Order: sequence, then structure tokens, then C-alpha cells
Amino acid sequence: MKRLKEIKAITAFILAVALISGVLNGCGSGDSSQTTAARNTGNESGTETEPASTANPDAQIVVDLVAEPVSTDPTHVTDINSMRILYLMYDRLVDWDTDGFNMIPSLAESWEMSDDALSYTFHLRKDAKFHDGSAVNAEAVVFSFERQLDENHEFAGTGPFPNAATYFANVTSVEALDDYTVKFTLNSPKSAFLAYLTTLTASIVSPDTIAANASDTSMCDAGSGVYSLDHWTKGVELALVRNDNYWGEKAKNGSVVFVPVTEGLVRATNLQTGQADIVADVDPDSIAAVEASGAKVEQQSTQHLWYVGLNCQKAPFDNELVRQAVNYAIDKEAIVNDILKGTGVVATQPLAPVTMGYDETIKGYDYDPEKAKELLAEAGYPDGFTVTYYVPESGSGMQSPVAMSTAIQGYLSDVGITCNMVKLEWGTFLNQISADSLDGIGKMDWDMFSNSLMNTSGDTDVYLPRFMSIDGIPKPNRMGYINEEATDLMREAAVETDSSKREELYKEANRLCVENPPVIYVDWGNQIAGVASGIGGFQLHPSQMMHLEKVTK
Amino acid sequence: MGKYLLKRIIGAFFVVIGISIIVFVAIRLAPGDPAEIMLGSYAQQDEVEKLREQMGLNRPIVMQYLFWLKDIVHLDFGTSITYHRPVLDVIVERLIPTIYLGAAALIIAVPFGLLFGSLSAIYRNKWVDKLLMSISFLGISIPVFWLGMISIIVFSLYLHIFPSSGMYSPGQTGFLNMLSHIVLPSFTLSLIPMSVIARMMKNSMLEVLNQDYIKTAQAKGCNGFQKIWRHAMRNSFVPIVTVLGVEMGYVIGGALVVENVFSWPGIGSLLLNAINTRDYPLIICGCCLLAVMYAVINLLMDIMYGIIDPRIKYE
Repeated sequence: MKRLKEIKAITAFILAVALISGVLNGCGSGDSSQTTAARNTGNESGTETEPASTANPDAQIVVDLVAEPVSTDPTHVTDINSMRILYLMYDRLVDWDTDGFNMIPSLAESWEMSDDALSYTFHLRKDAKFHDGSAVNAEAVVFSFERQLDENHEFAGTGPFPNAATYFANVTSVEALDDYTVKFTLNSPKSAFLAYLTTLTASIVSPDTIAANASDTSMCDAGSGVYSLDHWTKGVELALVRNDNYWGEKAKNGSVVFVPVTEGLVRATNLQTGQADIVADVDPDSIAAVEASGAKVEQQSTQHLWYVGLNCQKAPFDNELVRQAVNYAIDKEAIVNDILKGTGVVATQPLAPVTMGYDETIKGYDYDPEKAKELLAEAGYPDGFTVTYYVPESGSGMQSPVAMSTAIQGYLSDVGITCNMVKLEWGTFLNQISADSLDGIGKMDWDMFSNSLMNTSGDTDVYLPRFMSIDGIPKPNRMGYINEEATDLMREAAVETDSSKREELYKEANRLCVENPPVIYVDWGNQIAGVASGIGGFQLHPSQMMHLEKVTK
Repeated sequence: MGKYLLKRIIGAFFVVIGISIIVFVAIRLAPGDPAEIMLGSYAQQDEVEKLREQMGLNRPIVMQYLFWLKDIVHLDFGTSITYHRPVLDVIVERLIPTIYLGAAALIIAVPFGLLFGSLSAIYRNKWVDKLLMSISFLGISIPVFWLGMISIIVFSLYLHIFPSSGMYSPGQTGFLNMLSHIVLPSFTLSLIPMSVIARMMKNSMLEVLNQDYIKTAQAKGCNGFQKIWRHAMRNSFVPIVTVLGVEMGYVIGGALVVENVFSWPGIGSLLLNAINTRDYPLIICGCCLLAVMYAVINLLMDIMYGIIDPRIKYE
């Protein structure tokens, strides 16, 4: 009897376990891969062998980004995740083509610049409509800019607009000449003006939608782009759907869902398990595993310089020879190959290959510790010196800051320089290296720091003068680097409207900043994306935006 | 009872005020401010100043706090600097997933914790006890971050049983879909509370089993299951309730790491991001809300004592 009872109990237990695992398994397989697959290949007839010809025009593309967007109002955002999404929802007057930094018409069909380079007239296309149905016209363009630039504008309260002053401080007026013609007037020539019009800040928004959402524009869709906003479940996903009334070439897929996934390992796993079609920023350490699973890893060199800033206002780095010496002391090749696993390109100069002014004849500083020691001795530091080295623990575009900085610390100790590395959280780091007055130099009590600088607008003017000219930011520039000759060249280039002359000026300034470096040029980080097999048409762009409308599945 | 409750509620009120002051001051003592972080490392100093002014950050701290209190009285909890929206909206939509996750973790942790604890006590020093206590020891010691990663690699990447991240599959909703997504994070989150409850339960039950009344019951022929269930179990619960209150706080406030690993859209990942961007209104409101929840949970737990053990009276 007792025996029978025991058997009964054991059988019941086994059944219960089987039942529970059955239920859980059911739920597990009921998720991503199967259902989405069924949905996305709705009209196919079992021909999996030729993904290109069976591409579904209504496919849903799942994209894992590193973080959630902060707002759907393009004037609010400063982070790459938001920008990548809003780029598809909004149009600008002009844009870059899909291959690089070649300007193409967008909402403006054509434009003219006045001879004095102080005014630009844009002729808008007449067939563009906002997602809310209203027409994209001159009034909307004026509204999009005045909202940000005129403090007394009716909707100036829909800000703050963090980038407006950076790009458009010199715009004095934006007027509608007729329904489809707009004139911008500047108070000083700015050769980068058109490039600035490609930034998210210059997106054209629907006045109707902004007015209707005036109390909170951070979740509305005021765009006219190739996709419109479908839904945004906070923290979960933001979904865009194809805009079937788009004026240009329509999207080749039905919808794009952006999912925030913070951990690199989890993004890579999502790609391998089919939970994501495209993932941003694959960690260098995950690349091998992702490729082994059949997915592709796309890489492209960017204008994202990773550098070590040196305090040019304070000994020992106020000495040009010392700054050259530390450039010779670092084996950048080894950092790129071993730490970054080849996901970067050794930087030879401040300007990246895709940027105007890049000079391929400049070979930069080789790894030459002997030369570094000689230069240090010549500068009066035969026994080296001790400095403090600020390193952010993380930060947008910082690649692997701690590992890279530790390697740099090691290379510098080989030539007799002792770096006391201080690792800081990003916000603390920014505060530590920032200057607190307009003339900056007063508070520069640091020695060296690791940082990176991305050129989002594609133009040299936002980039090179920002950190190597006396007109840089914060004034004179982050490194306190005074190079009158280079500054004059950059000032001249900023107002030069002939682009070949402009390029020569930047080339010369660029060369001067290599000969007398304010920083250690380390590498240009690649942008990296993982793409699942069966996905076609994905292409990276040097601006780091993603042309997802070309993607097929 | 009523007087006791009133006293506790007033106490909790001051706790929350105190926490708001501490958080308000502490976050402003941290270097860096939202304007600086928003504009990045290459911002013009006057632009930063202008943005600071728009955000009202150039007032003295005391004034900022008083303005904040004034707004709270008017039920205006402020606007998130990062999200440009009322903080309460931002927090509430993220609080719900955290509550789901916390509840799921407790649903795993409490029954299993009690079961393992009781079994360990009953089979003291036998292999069952040793095995379960080793597991609970591991459960307390394993870093949650690591466990989360390993469970993703094993259960998502290799076994394909559960999805690796998120709350729903992209483009989908529904309870069943969420259920498959909640298994890994809730299991990961439940391990610490489960282990703590198991260890507590074991000690508590051992103590009860040594009481005279259990021996009396035994002498009267009440043995085995009946002895444990009717006489020992309920009496072992009182200290567990205390632990439960603490662990509930843990699964809500401490879910941060788990939420980050599994991209769970909860309040932990929201607050972590808020700290990184120095989103002052969001940080303060989030912390105060967690403090309120913690206070409420503890109050409920105190009331629970009375229900479990009628001998406990409130003065």
C-alpha cells in the first residue's frame, strides 16, 4: 500500500513538471522567431532559397539600438539613438546622398546663394505633405526655424533647443517670399551653412502638429519623412510605418521597430537568435561569434576621432616637443588591432579621410619610443615626469576608454612618463575637464584626458575649428591650444565659398595641427552594425544615420 | 490601531521629506549638470549658461528646493529634462513593468524560499539540507549581472527556450508574450530574495521545532506533516514577514541591474539613465516614489504581523 502511494506521488510530480515545462516551452516558441517569421513572409510561397526575389514589401525590420530615443521632436535631441530614428521621420531642405557627403535636394528642389554669401533662397517641391496631411510649404519652413531662433515666437516654449545656437546663431531672418520660396539671411558668411541644414536641428516640422501638441511636443509626429510614427511604448519599442504618401522613393519594407537594448552581449545574442534583424554597435569581442552564426558585421570608418587631450597651457604639455614625443610614444596600431579588434583606423591627423581637408600624404606619428625619449630629453625632461590622466568610464562613441587609456598609460611609462589614471563617470568627467569662464584658460587644472569627437554635420567647419582654433569651444579651445597661423586659415576657410580653395585652406590648417599637435591622435572609431542573414540593402553612412528605407527582408 | 496607523503615516511623511532633501542635495553635489551633459564636451560656455537658465539651474540650491516643494504642493512634479515631459507620466509608465517583474520574482521567491527553508529545517544536517543551503548560499553570492548574462547565453542563445531581452517581442503585445519574456529576468531577480527567505525560514523553523509546545504535540502523537503544517509553520512566519518587507523593497528598487541586463523597460533602467544625464526632476521624483512605496510596504508588513500572530497588539 505504502509503495503504491509513493509511486502515485512520483507519477503526479513527473506529470506536473512535464505540464509546466510544456506550458513554458509553448510560450517560448510563441514569441519572436516563429510568429514574426510567419508574419513577415506573409505572401511568400515557401521559396526560402532566394531571399532577394521573395523580399516582402510589408516586412517588419527589427533594429536594436543602444538606448531609447528621448523625444520625437527633432529639435530636442542630441544623442545618436534619437537621431537615427528621427532622421527617417523628418525631412530637411537638403540632404546627403546614400554614399557619402554629396549634397542632394530634399524638400528644396533647388537653391541659390547671393554673391555676398549672406542670403540663400530655397525653392521647395510642391508635392510634399506632412504626415498630418498639411502641405510642406514656405510657412512651415519659416515656422521650423523661427520656433527655435526667435525667443518671442508663439511656440518658443516647445524647447529647449540645445543645438539651435550651435548651427544657426548667425541666421538673422527666415522669410517666405511666396508659398514655395524661402529666403535665409545670415549676418556673416558661413560656408558650412548648407551642411548645417542637413542636421536634425534643421528638420522641417508641421506647424499644425506642433501647435496641437504645444504643451508636449516630445511624442508627436510632425514630420514628412519616408516613415511615420506608428506607436512608441516607452522603454519597450518605437515603431515606424511606411509613409505611402511620401513624395520620394517609398520604403522597401512595411515597418521598422526600434528596440532599446543596453548590453552589447544581449544585442549580439538577439541577432544570433533572430530576435533582431539589425543591431547597432556590436562589441569588438562579439564580432567573431556574430559572424560564426551566419550574420554579417558591417563596418565603416567614421569622422569620430578618439584622442588624448593635452593641456597646452601648463607644463609639461605646454612644450610642443613634449606633445610630439607622446605622439611617438604610443603604438596606435597595437591598440587598434588588439584592443579594438580592428574596429578602428589609426588616426594620422585630426581630419578623417571622408572629411574635407584630409591629406593622405600625412603619415602621422609612427610608434618610435626612442625618438620620443630624445624629444623629451631635448625638451628638458630626460627623466620624464608625472601627470594626472582623466579617463571616462564610458560615454557615447568612446569605444573601450578604460582599456585603451590603460594601454596608453603603459606606453607612456616606457618612455619615463608616469600617468596617474583617474577613472570618472561621464558627467563628472565632463565637469572635470570643462572650463567655467568664457576665456576658459583660468580653470584648466588638468594634465591630460581621453575623449572622442564626432563630426555629425559632415562639414569641417563644425569640427576642426571647434577644438584646434582660437575660436574653438570652449574658448579658445578645450586644449588651450594657441596656433595663430592655423586659426587664420580656418577663419578664412569658414567664409570661403569656393570649395576647392576652401579645401586647400583646411589642408594647410590640418597639416599645422599635425606638426604641432594639441592632442595624441589615436584612432577613428568604426561604426559597426550587425545584420542578420536574409536582410538586404543595408548600407552604413558616414554620418552614422541609417537608410533603413532601403532594407529588404 | 487607528492611532498607531496615523503615527506611522506621519512618520513616513517625514521620511519621504528627508529623502527628498538628501537626494536633492546629493545629486547637485555630484559634478556635472544636465545642461553640460546635454550639450556634450564641445559646447560653447554661454550656450550652457543659457540652457542652465532655461532649466532654472542657476538659482541657489535652497531656492530650487523650495520652488520644487511649492510645485509638489500643487501636484506638479516637474518636467523631465531628458524627455521633455511631466516626470510623473515618465515614471508611471515605467513603474508598471517593474511591478510585474517584482511580482513575478516574489511569486518564485516566496513559495520556493519557504519550501526550501522548511525542508532544510526538517531534514537538518541531512543531504537535503546541505544541498539546499549550498544553493541558497550560491544564490546570495552570485553577482546578478553575471547570472543574467549566463542565463541569456544558456536559455536564449543555445537552448532557444526563452527570448533574450525586452518585455514583448518586437511589434507584439499580449500577456502570453510577456510571460515568456519575464521568465529569465524574474528568475534572476528572485534568486537573492529566495535564498534570504530560505535561510531565514530554516532558522525560524528550527527555533519553533525546539519549542516546548512542539514537543508536547509530538508527545500527544502529532507527527510528520501535521506537526509541521499545523503547529510549526505558522509560528515560523513572523520573522519571515520582516524579511519579506525588505525583499519587496529590493525587487522594486534593486531591479536596476536585472532590468539593464534584460532591457526590461522598468524604473531601474530609467533612473540609472536619469542619473547619467543628471535629469534632476526625474531622479528626485523617482527616488521619492520608491521611498513612498517602501514606506507603504513596511506599513502593510507591520499590519500583517497582527494578522499572523494575534498576540501582537499595536499601541
